[in-house]
Amino acid sequence: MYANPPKKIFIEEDVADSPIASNLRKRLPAAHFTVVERIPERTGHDPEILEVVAFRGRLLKSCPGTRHYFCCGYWILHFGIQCTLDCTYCILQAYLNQPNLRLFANTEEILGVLSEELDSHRERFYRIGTGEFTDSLLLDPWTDLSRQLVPFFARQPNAVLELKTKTHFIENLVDLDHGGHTVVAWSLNAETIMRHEESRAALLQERLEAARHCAEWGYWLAFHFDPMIEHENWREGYGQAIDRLFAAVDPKRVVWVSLGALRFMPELKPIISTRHPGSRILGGEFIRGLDGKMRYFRDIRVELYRFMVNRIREVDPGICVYLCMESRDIWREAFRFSPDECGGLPAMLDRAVKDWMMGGVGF
Amino acid sequence: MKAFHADLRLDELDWEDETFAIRSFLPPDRLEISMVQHGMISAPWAWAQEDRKYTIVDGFKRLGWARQKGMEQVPCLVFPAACSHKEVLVLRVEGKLFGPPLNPAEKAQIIAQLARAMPHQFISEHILPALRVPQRNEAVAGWCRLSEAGEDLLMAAASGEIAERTALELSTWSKEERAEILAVLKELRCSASIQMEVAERIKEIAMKEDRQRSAVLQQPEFQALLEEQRSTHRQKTEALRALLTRWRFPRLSAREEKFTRQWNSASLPRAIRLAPPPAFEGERWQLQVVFASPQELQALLEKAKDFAGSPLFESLLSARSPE
Repeated sequence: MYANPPKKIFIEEDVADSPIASNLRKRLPAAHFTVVERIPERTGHDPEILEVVAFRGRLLKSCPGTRHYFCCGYWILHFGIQCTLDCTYCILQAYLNQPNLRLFANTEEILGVLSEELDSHRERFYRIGTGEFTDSLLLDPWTDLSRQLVPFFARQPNAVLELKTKTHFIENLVDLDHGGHTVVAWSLNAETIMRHEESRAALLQERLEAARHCAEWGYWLAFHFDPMIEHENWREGYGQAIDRLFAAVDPKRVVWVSLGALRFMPELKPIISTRHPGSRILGGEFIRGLDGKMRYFRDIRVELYRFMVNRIREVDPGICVYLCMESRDIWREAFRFSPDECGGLPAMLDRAVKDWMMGGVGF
Repeated sequence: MKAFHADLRLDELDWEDETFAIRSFLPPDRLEISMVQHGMISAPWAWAQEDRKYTIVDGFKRLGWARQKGMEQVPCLVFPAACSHKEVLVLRVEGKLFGPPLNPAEKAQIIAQLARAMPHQFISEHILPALRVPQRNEAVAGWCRLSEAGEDLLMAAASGEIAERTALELSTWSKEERAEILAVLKELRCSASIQMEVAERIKEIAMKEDRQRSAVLQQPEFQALLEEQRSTHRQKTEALRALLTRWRFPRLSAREEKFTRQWNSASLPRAIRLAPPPAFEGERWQLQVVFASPQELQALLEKAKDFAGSPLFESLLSARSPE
């Protein structure tokens, strides 16, 4: 894993005394800290910079699904943006007005707002993640953010937290009171894809080792084979990844596995070409999807998904496997059913939480 | 910085120094006719050097013409030696920005010259908009690369044979690959968007199949279409686009061919047309019926209804995945 700690840290005055800012100062004594009134918009990307700001927008967002494809009904807790893992396919490369890693340090306020939201909708169940606009654990060794989030969620009867990562930065999780309300999730891929397209992230072995430790500490696990990338010998590559996954962790600790074939906004294509000229992912047979994103031609997606579903079912037919942002016809061909036949995808995943994490008792 | 007008002797000019040269890459015929008829209307610019020589800043062609005509001296606008290179360059570029429209080769040289003297960010924010160049990330680097991409590409871009976007794309190709694709595009004489499509298809086919781009261009099927004597440029372009699309999207093309075969085997009247969703994505199929009278419509709908209940129709809709 090649993610280095930030070396130049710009902190906005409002959050200069926040716990995150003081943790960063303590953990990164060699970094250069600058306190500023407001961090200006930057156009240039500098992987050594971390911007620490107070977030002033909507803290909790629903997953940006579209009407054409089934969405998982996930909520995003917006605590940071950008990532230095620099995966070739990453959408964050297109966020040109905010190219540097940025963390929202008004955590007390964020958790206060979240608490109000959860309290005022007790009838609703929330699956909340922090890994949509950044990696959930990338900065955790230096911010200790998980030490605030995990105990907070342990106290929420109607919510679970999903920490989604490509790192092995789990040290903070070891002794936390998680109350069974935190799912630690890894994005996985065929090893050759990890090597070429996610070259700064943790190796497959490191991710699985970290997952095994988390399971030992009582955490629930999830895995996201997303983005799946069609490549030479992909069956062997993805098959081996599944074999190694379930050799490392007990399937009974796995709450869900998601599958999603590579898709991207058309604007990302020239960015990938320029920033990652050695990547071959753009050679895939992409068509424009109903949401305007580029996706593999449907038959390729069906083939990828069918293969994965069958392999996972061989290990444990009870594991909740779902497709991220796919249409009814693709679901039917991959699974022989579609989510709307069982109450919708969000309900399917809520049931997975109830049945697996809460022993069938619900919330 | 105070520039002044002075008559400079042509042998005082440093003819070797092309620091400020911004070539148009276009034939100078029109300028020569004008100078023969009217003489030199505006004064060339020169920058005094410490060694009593002068660097030409603007007016390379005019001064060249004067030398060819055997003139001994020419009235010039002279920048004193105390001026810095950057100051003179900024004025040189300003002069270009407010002159006649610049072709892509000139824009590339201007950006490249500025990039050697000032930060990319400044150029991106202040010069690119004036040149009507999109302010994309890495744009400055792209234009600098184009300025170094060789005379053939710059000439093709300057003359309009190759569109600006295509020229920028081709500047990322190797010299040999560039020469080959340039020959293809000159032969096709197609629009900017089709040039880009052809270039991108070739690039992506090569990426997908892990081959050199030249290998794609040298495929016998491709060459045969390109060299087909009986086809017009437009026909060649369409045939090559279809071929490249088939190579770029083999699975989708196979699916389309299968659909066409199955549909044809249904032997329905030509007035009934079934259209799958674009790229077979989603579930919205369309049936088109062309008719001239209520009776004809009724008859066609009967046939369509029979077909809708047939196993062939079911197979057409559902058998979308490879069998």
